[in-house]
Amino acid sequence: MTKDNRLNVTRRTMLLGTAAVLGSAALTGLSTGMARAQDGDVLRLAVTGSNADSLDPHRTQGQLTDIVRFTNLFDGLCEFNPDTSVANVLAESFTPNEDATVWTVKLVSGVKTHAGGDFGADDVIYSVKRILDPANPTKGGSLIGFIDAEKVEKVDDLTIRFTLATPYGPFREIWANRYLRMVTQDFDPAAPVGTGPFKFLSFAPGQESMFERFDDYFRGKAGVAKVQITNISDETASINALRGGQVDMAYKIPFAEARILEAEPGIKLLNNPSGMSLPLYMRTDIAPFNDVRVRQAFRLIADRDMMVRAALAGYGEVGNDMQGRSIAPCGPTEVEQRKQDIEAAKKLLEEAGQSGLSVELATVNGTSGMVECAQVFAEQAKAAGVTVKVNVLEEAAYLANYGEWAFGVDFLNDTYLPLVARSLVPGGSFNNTHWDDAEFNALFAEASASSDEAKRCEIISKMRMIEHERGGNIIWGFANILNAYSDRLQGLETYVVDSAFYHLRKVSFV
Amino acid sequence: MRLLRNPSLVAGFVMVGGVVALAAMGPLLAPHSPSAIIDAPYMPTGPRTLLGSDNLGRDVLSRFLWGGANLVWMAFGATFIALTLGAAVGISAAYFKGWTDEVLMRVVDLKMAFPSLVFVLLFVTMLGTSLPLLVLLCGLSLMPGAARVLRGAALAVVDKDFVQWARSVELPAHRILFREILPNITSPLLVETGLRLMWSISLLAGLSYLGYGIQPPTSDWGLMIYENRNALRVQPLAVVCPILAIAVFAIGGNLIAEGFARAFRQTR
Repeated sequence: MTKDNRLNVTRRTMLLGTAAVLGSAALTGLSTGMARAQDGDVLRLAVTGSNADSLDPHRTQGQLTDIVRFTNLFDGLCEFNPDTSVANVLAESFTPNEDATVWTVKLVSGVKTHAGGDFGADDVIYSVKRILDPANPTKGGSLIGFIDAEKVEKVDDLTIRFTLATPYGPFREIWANRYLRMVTQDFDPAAPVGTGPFKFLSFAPGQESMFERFDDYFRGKAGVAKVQITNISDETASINALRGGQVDMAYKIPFAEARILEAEPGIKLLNNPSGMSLPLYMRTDIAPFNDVRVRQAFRLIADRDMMVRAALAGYGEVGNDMQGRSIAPCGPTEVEQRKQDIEAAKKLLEEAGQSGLSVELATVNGTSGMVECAQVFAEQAKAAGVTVKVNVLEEAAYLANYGEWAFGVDFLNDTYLPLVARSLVPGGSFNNTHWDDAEFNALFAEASASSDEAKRCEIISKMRMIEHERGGNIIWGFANILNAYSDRLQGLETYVVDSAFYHLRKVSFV
Repeated sequence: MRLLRNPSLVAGFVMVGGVVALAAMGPLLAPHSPSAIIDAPYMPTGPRTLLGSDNLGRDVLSRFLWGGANLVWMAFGATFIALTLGAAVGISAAYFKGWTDEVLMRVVDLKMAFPSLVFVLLFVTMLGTSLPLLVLLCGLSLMPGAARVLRGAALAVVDKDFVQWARSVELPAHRILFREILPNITSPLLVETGLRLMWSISLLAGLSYLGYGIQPPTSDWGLMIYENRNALRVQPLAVVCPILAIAVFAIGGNLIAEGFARAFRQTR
């Protein structure tokens, strides 16, 4: 008898085989589930960054990965609340003298650093001098340029006195800015020590960083044991990583994708009503935009509702050619909403001798909406006989001529006075319009010097009126910032200026 | 008539001809301006937008009908440049032989070491994007392949009696190259035409997709895919229509090449 070597498949072996396959699949699923449960305390983020990533909160290029890292490793004297109001963090109180030229800052006691030491006045003085170091210009330096680094004195271990050359009223508020975080003395970016809710574990520029919870954090322990920040610059890849469960939070969500994500099970959308404007800026120092009639004509061309609907997919709010979506604690500035008026625009262009004007509009694929708003505006301009040629540039090419483009698109997000300092007065590093309005500049100086909030609000209102009347920006709308996260998370809040990504201590797993 | 019995060739011509007709006639049939904002972004098909709206609320049908014009003429232009230069280089190398052959072929080899996309991106990044420049760069990037093939075909011809006779009566070189050799390598030339056409439209659409080709708000099939790729699930037509058109054109080009190659083999 010859033995048949072929596999003898009977119904019994088939059933056994199927059971084995299903059983192993179930075990695999169980083990995956267990693995998830074990490492469920690691919060994984997908954020946009680059090879130029750094752990230095002051000497940074300002990419998002850097900001997310340093806002969780280091604290500031103050921070932004979800609205634009400011809360004290490391500072307990700010006391000005009568004319707001001397400010005494008292620190919170008992704040521990990641190295186990006490945080104190020496660390603040070291940080401020580091930010203002002329040999290493920092992003925060221009925000506190009114401080003379040599006149920052230690009163005692928890008290510092700042003597200013000129009065500065919103002194406390400025410290909420993300670029003004406090480091400890002899700071080493390779082994960063701060006071933040997370401690440094590892960092590979352009790739990934890992932090762990700082158990002695003075505002209470963070909700997760570890944070893993992965650089994913491509929007689609970042969303797919969230869908696939490789990350728990994704920063960059394009407006077009939001509607789809909102309907997806397991994923939640964080729709931040940010103060980010995407202005179309016009250089006020060269033709044709040095003529205010041309600028006003261009502002009348914009159909703002359509721009918000088309360029932001409705995720935003119409603007009125004034910076500041919210200028809290000040109330809104009472100016009639500017609307599209093609006939008035044509008339103004005719009066200015610029009928049939043709201009190039420089834009870049920076933040969502920058290219789209340029295209929508170009289409709307046709009705007024204006030809707008949209020039979508590479980021490097756009930045190489930053500040030189006659007509371009930018994005700005900050509270009102810091934003004015950066973009609406001479010397501001973002003053693309090259606007230099004597009355506006004087009002800005007055608002900066005032420590009386009511008076400051009154001045800000006047400044915004001037912007509306003769400024160099078409502020057609404010874009929401969209993030997405897994529904396994809780504690995420929407922010106007900051982001839930900068406040990860509040986030935990359900 | 024999060519009409070649199914690959007929199918290829029908497909390429159909896309060319669509690109040429499309703008006349479009219901709206390709840049006019008609609806909210990514709306499904409706009475005003038969194929729905795109990322800015523009009519997908109108953008699709307008989107082929530039791409198709640019693909033909790039193919023409690639074949003209490729033929000149390939035939010259085969005819003159010696150091001319060595120099020309090493230059071709050097160019072939760069992938076409990298080659074009390099120059576009330095010089900016303009349609004539894109056509020229695509033509140059596709030239080496044509030069290699046509040199091979010409090598089989240059030693034939009629070429030797032309040499012996001292006909000018350009006349021998283009009057005696070129007409005798038309079959591989036609095969190359189909192949280069396929490569050129793929390359040009790829450049638009990467943001280095035709610039917004101009309507272009490659750009349509790029602009609407994130909403494939809610508005697939804005991506699928241009992909189909490019695929039909590319496959058509390939079928033409295959058809000519088959016809060429049968005649040998």
